[in-house]
This record gives sequence, structure tokens and C-alpha cells, in this order.
Amino acid sequence: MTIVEDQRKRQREFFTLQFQKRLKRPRGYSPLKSSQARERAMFRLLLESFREGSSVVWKSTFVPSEIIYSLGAIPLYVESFSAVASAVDICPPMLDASERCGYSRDSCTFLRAVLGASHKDILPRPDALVSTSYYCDGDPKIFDIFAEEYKKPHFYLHVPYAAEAGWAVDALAEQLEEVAIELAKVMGKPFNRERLSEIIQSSNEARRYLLKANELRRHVPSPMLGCEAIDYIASITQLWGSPELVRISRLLCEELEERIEKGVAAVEPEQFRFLWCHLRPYYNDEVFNYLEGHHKAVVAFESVNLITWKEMDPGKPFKSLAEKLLANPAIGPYERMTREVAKMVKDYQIDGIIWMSPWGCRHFNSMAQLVKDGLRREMDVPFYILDLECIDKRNYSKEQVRTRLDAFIEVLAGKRG
Amino acid sequence: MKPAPTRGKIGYLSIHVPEEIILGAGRLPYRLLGRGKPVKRASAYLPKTFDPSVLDSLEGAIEGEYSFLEGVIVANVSDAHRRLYDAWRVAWATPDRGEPKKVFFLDVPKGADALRVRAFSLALSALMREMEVALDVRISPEGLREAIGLCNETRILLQRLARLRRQKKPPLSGHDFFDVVSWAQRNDKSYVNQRLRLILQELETARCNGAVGPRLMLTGSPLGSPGLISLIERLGAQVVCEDLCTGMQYFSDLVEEDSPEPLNALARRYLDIPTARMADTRARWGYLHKLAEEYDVTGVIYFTLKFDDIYLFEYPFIRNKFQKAGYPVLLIEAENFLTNVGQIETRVQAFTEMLG
Repeated sequence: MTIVEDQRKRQREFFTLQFQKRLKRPRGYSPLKSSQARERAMFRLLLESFREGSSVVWKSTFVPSEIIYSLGAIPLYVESFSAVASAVDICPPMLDASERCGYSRDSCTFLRAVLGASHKDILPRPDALVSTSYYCDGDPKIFDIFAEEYKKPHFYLHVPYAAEAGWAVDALAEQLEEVAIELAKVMGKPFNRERLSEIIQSSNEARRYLLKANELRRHVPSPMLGCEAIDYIASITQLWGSPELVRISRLLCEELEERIEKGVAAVEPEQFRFLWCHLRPYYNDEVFNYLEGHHKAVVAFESVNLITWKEMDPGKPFKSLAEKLLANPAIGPYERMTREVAKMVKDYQIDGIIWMSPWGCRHFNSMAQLVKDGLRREMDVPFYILDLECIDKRNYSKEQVRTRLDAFIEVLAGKRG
Repeated sequence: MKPAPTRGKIGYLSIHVPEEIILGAGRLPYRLLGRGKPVKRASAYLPKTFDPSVLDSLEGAIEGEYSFLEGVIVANVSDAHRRLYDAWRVAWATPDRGEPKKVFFLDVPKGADALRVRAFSLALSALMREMEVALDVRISPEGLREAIGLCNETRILLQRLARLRRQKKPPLSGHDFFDVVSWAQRNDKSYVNQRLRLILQELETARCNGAVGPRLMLTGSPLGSPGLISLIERLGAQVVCEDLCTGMQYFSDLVEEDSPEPLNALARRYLDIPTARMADTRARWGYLHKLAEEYDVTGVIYFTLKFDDIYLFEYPFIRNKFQKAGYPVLLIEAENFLTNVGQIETRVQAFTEMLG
């Protein structure tokens, strides 16, 4: 099927309308200017990727956006498209389409939504695709299937499981360099190492601000709602390397500092502090509103905002990017993740952990019980595995979720005495 | 370091684990094919929405069914196996389960090009070092070469056995073939090779009579037992080839024997196995299509275990390819033990009747 520019234009108009509706949605809180700027930046990125003449690289979760920006291309993190589609309520037909194609309802909804969107041809078309082995099994498989369908090259990065082994950084850095060179060939331009170094500097700058924001969020009472903080997904956002992320993260720091200075709390009176592990439901804010609004239990921090990598060396971009990828605590044995969760509990004075567990997720879900048991050996912090879907609102039951959250809050209250 | 003695068994789950390294360490490779029973205690470690064959293996470890092993190698072949490595370590470290056994880990890339082969060689080297320390042995290049020769012979013999099924009236059933391949993965290779030569001698001269129903290919998730194949063949069809890691993938290619770097030769061969977990879908389809043509199949049964994402994501693509190439496809999704036998029987029966 040939998509002509007229159709692309209509797609842009459609998504623009959806995003405008989304920005104007009624919220239970007054959002920070930085959060609004982040939403606009994400939508602009998606709209740009629909534009004729844009070079678009589809990427899976941990493919470094920095490389793609350095080539003047747009990184489209396709799973974030599913999240956006869920937020603007166009996901159910995408999921239906994937199910009609034969994809199982037991598998990841992020990936199934993209498969359905591709089948309905509502996605920006890729010039190339890059996937990594983390996360998860589905990514390299469906990226290769997409590559066949769109007749575009797919590059695959193997991220060594032995993240702390001496050879892992070099083995991954070699692959990253190979991918950068191959992508440049696809874009029809030579690979510019200096440009990548500049992008790395920009990425470092944003990292410094986001680290500072994470520090500021340790304040009690919390200066920011988890409901809006979780959307930054600092560990995986496709904005890494863009000037927008520097501006947004700088603004976020300024706003958090101002709130702390003025004594503004996200939730008053703050009753409990939660650590939220994994992503969130994108189809509505109800769960967070119920926790933070009704129970005055703030989500003080989220695992997806954790920044574990050190400052990158612009002179050694591939080695630095390899180190960034390998610093991810989800890579390697579960003890790495347990260590990080324990640290977050201490840093953010956490009363309880909510580990969100979507039905179709094998990678993150599979760690839940192991991390819970590992933590129990180290500290006494209530840990709740909450079955909840990220994308598919058809599998959401408001009352069931509320009952479970009520029970967990009761446990925390009982513990406090 | 002591010279490698011939003793003890090391278990492994994935065919991306080179048996040659276990043999080089003086141990016998023992493929874990599952118990085929419902799990109870494994769910305390891993979610229920997980590859049932992985849960099954963990249950076996918890129940002490693998206590005869000196250790086990878990490979990074899927999200589920990766976490199995963690859960198995925790399960075996529990004090009431006796002396802790060693759980080794092998990282396996999903690509087979030069950089991925190099990364796999490094991972194999790390595994070897870990085994040398844990088992107090030295794995020498000579030992590896000898093991490569032995395993290649098994592969050549099994390839000959498989080719017999290209005949119009195959001299052995899919069930029997599956049993032979399973047995070859769990016994001493010298003995296996000796027995395989005898079996071939007998079957290569055998005359086969009787009618043969539709010729089917079975592909998909790992099967631990031939239960599904028996069911299909009871209903009048014959499974003449199976793209299963517990079937023909086990002996799909040989390892280069003259390579000055045996570890690199192993890395190349074990990444070339066309399993569904590998990212190269085009190569995978090419392999499946060739198999279907060579074995002259009339239909394909695609089997997936519940929650086995690799196959659940691959299925629609492979089904479309097969259908475009003129092969009808039947999907069967089940647990790793056949609970819904009646339903499966009805569907297979209708499928074989349709194939005529």
C-alpha cells in the first residue's frame, strides 16, 4: 500500500487534534510547566516523524537516541507510540487489529498495539529499525518482521547479560559503532563523530539536571506527584540527546526548587510515600489519583526515573553509550535490581513498594517475586505486586484495583500502628 | 588442575549450549526435557504467566528430580530462561536441599554475524573458565576438538536417520524418531553413535508397507515428550519432519573440525541453529520452507506453549508465509502437558481430513 503525502497530512492533522484534546484533558492536579513542555516535545517529535522528508528510525527501548539524533534522524520509540495511542484512546482498535492478525492476547500489549497500528498503517514509516536484546524477547522478533514488511534494514544490538564483565563494554561499543555507521549509510551521509560528541554533551547536561531533580524529589513532603513524574521515564525517554530535554529538565529543577522553597507539597497532608516500579496505566490517571488524591499517599519516586549511568565521555562516545546501556539494573541477575530498589527505598524514605505487573510482560514481571524475597532479607518494607495493564483499558477494573490498593494502605497503616 | 575425568552429568536446557564444552570438561551433557506435569512450587519464584517448560524445569529442580546432576547450564535464550537462572540459584541454595550445585549461565546473542559471533565466543570462554574453577578441571583445545568430532558424528548419523523420512513410506514414525533424538541428547555420545549405526543399518535396508496419511511438519515451542506427535499419528497423519529444538534443530549443522580456534567454530555453529529466538526472520523462513520442500509435507502444525512469546510473536508471520507458499497451517496452543486432549484431537482430525 502506497501512502501519499495527502494521507500523511491527514494523519498529522488527526494526531494534532488528539494531542490538543489530550493537553486540555481535565486533570486532578495542576501540572508543572516542565511536564507540559515534555508532553509537547513528545507530540512534536511524533508529528515530525509523519512529515514528508523526515528520516525516521524505529528504536526499541534501550537503543540510544543519541546516535539517531547525531544523524539528523528522528528516533521513534515505537512502544511509546502505544502509550500515546492509549492516552488518546485509539488503542483498542489497534489491539483488535493485532488480534485479528493472529497475535495472542497473552502477549505484550505495547508490542501488539504497534503491530495493530502497523497493520492499519497509522504509524510513521521507518527508514531503518534498531532493536536491542533488552527489553525483551518480543522486540528483536517483531522489529525483524517489520523490517520485512517495510523493506527496510533492521540492526540488532546484543547487550551482554554479564554487564559487569570486563569484555562487555567493548563488545557492545563495537556494535554501537557498527550500527551508527550502517545507519549513516542508510541516511546517505557520512557518520559524523564530532556531531555525536556534541549530542553526548547535551545528553550529559540533561542527565545532570535530571539527577538534581531526582535529588530534589527526596524532599519530605514530596514536591511532585508521581502521576506526572512517571511520564518523564528518564531512564528510557527518546529525548536523550535533544536540546528539548536539557530545557525541560532545567525547568523541572527550577520548579521543584521553587516548590520546596515555598513549602508546596504535592499531597497534603502526606500520609505515605510509595516507590512505584515499572510503567503506569496510560489510558487514565485513576490509580494515581486514587492513591495520591484520595489516600494522600504520594508516589515519591518511580523506578523508571532512575539514572544509574555515569557522565559520558564525549571523546569516547561509543564506549560511553555502551556503559550507559550496561548500567541498567534490569540487565543481569536479579540481585542488581534488588540492590537498586533497596537504595531507592532508603533515598526516598519509602513506606511501601508497588510493583506493577502487566499480564503480558515477561521481563519485568518475572523479577517481582525474586526482588521481593531479596528485599525481605535486607529490610522490612511492604511490597505489593499489582496486576495492572499499561495499554489495554479493556482489561482494567477500577473497583478491583481500588480494593487492592485499600488493602495495601491498611497494611501500611497497621505497620505504623 | 586435574586431567578431565569421565564422570558426572551436567544438565542443560537449550540447544544453544555447546555440548562439546561439557564433554571437554569430562562430564556428560544431559538435556533437560521437562517432566510434563503441572507445577506447584515453582510459582513461588516465577509468575504463572510464564513459559510452562521453564516453570516445569524449575519445579524439577525444587523437587530434587535433578539431584543426580553436578550442575546445570541455563542459557539466555529468552526472558523466561534468563529469570530461570535466578530462580534456580535461589532454589538450589535453600539449605534443606543438600549441598548446593552449580548453576552456570551462558549469554547467547540473537544474531549470527561477525560481531555477535565474537560476543558469543567471549561468553563461551567465560563459561569455560567458570566451569574449570567450579569443577576443578581444565578444558583444553584438544579436548574440545575431540568432543567436536564425537558430536559431529552424532549429528551426521541423526541427519541420515532423518533423511529416511523423506521416503514415501518412512521406515520410522515421528514418535520413534523423537524418542531417538531425545535419547541421543541424554546419553554417552560414543555409545549413542554405536547404537545409531546399528539402527541405520537396519532401517536403511528395511522395506516399508502400509498406507501413509498426510505428511506433516511440526514446528514451534519445545516439546519435552512425544505425546503430541503420538496423538497426530494416531489420527492417521505422519510427522515426517519437526522444526523443534528437541527435534531436527539439534543436529541441523556441523561444527567446523579443522578450525585453529575451536571456540570460534563452536560459536559460529551454535548461533547458526535456525531457532525462532534468533532475530533473522528471513533466514528462519528460508530454513522452514526448505525443510517443508525436502520432506514433501502437505501441511504444517504450529505448536506454541502458552506464554511462550517468541513463538506467539512469530506465528502470524510464519503462518502467512506458509499459506502463501501453499501449505495449510494448524495452530495448537497448549500447556507442556496435554490437558485439552479432546479439543486437540478434534482439531487435528479435522485438519488431516482437510488435507485428504
